[in-house]
Amino acid sequence: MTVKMQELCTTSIVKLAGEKGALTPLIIDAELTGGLGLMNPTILKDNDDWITNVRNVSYTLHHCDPPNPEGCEQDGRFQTPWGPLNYVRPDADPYLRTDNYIGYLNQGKGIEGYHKIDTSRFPKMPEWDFVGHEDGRLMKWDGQLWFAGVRRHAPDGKGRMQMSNINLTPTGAFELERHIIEVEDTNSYCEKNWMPILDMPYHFVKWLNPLEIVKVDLLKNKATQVKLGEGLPFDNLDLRGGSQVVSYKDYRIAITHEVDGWVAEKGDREGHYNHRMVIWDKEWNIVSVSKPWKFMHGKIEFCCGLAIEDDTLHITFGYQDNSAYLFRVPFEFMNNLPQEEAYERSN
Amino acid sequence: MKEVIKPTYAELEQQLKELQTELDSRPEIKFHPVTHFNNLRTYIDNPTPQNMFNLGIEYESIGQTASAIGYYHQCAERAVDNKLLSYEALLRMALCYEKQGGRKAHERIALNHAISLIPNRPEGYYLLSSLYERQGSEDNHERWFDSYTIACMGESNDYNKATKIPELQPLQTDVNYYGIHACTFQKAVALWWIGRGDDARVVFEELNTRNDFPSNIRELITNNIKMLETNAGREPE
Repeated sequence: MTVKMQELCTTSIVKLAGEKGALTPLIIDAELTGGLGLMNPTILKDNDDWITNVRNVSYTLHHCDPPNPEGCEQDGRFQTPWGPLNYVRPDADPYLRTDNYIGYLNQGKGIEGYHKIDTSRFPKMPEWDFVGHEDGRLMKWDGQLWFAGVRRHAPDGKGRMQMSNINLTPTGAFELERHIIEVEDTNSYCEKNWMPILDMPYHFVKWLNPLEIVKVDLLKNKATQVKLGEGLPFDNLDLRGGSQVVSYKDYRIAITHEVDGWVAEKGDREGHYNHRMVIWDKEWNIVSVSKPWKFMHGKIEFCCGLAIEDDTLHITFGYQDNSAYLFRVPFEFMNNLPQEEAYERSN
Repeated sequence: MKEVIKPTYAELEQQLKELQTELDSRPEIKFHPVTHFNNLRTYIDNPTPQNMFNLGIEYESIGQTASAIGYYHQCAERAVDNKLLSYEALLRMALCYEKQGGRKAHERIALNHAISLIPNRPEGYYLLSSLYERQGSEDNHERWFDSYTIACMGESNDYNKATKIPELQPLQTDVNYYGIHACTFQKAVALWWIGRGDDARVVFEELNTRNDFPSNIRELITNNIKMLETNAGREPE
């Protein structure tokens, strides 16, 4: 398959925003993490507090990001024997492990007062290739702080959303409850990237196109479909979950992602991610879907956090699985990005 | 009337003291100052290979080696018109993997890429020989032969012969390469481990006549010579 790289999205919204935006690295002390990857942070505005979580992984992503002049289909000069994309883990550990550091944003919007989430209350689970609670989103429901992401399960890597109740104190962060959420289709292989709807406790956007909303019953640890919408009136949109769904004026807003993958000439897998801002009204009618963009020119970027204060969006994202950032930008700027044109339904 | 800015400097100083006292009395509370990056905005506005490299240096300086590797790698890929910058970025990737520990396969990959890019510079050979030395002294003894071979290659390249004054374009950063005899030193160490004690003594004695080493290397040379003297000669079974 021929992939013309010049056709890929090249919009960097952080660059485009210029002085309207503010970018802050979210750093966890290397003495705690060994300098390993910080990625896919999330954020929650909780009254006067800003809570954020940064995912720390046991690997470094080796990902070729060449300039790709026209006509070039080589995925980088400095690849690994395993291709242009490789998770560099310790030679003696085949697993990709995740820890989570949760804390507060200070006035400079850096993370401070953070702690690794203490999961010791729960027995160690059998390990598959990916170990830990990945790409969690924060939400406050019924006065409790929740953290929802995917956990992969041995022996085959089945993925299920996990909701963890977190007690964040000045001296530590503790996982108090753990709920592995089963779905109606129990044969489903991997459930991930569900987007918590912050103003609808225990509800998640499970799929975006068509829209599917589920409600989680924590007593049964099961999610049940409560809404199934129509397909979006746009061509070829394979939107997947990203941030939380956040209420803003008469709307609900989320940042989504989509993956464009291919097989390189030697047979190795390769790909890149795009993001969009999606807006619904309060009845879940689609209002707008932006055209795709990237945050910072990166091929792999991932957003799992969105919060709003006044008219400023606080978007957290991971860059090449190796760095974590907070991007603050006026809603107006994001809303003025080019939008997908909807078509009229034939029926 | 003179305007008084509140809080005053003295008040701020007092608050800081109180905060420090509390932090000192409660070791369970850790203070994590927010890092300021000088090169991030520059990178965003103008993502040139040099700006990628500069941002990588900044991340590496605070121990964030995964982030640094990401920017160094991007720099190496993009610096198609600047081999030396790509070369140095690849060396820095290897150094970051070394700091992370336990990722020797990727140290080796990065160094091989660097050497392939500019085969007539010594730094890559020196670092690769040192990597093989570490592997050899752990449990992979055949790596001593790789350490020796690569040291010989580094020592013999056109710009690094011990008899010549090198005229290398300097790198931007310190990559732990301390001078023209680094590969010769590596060769001398590896020689003993591949069973050539007499040859090792000769090379170390030659090195000992020179004075252009950092003090720690001088100490290593002296220690090696002592060790080789102690171990000299066959012993009865």
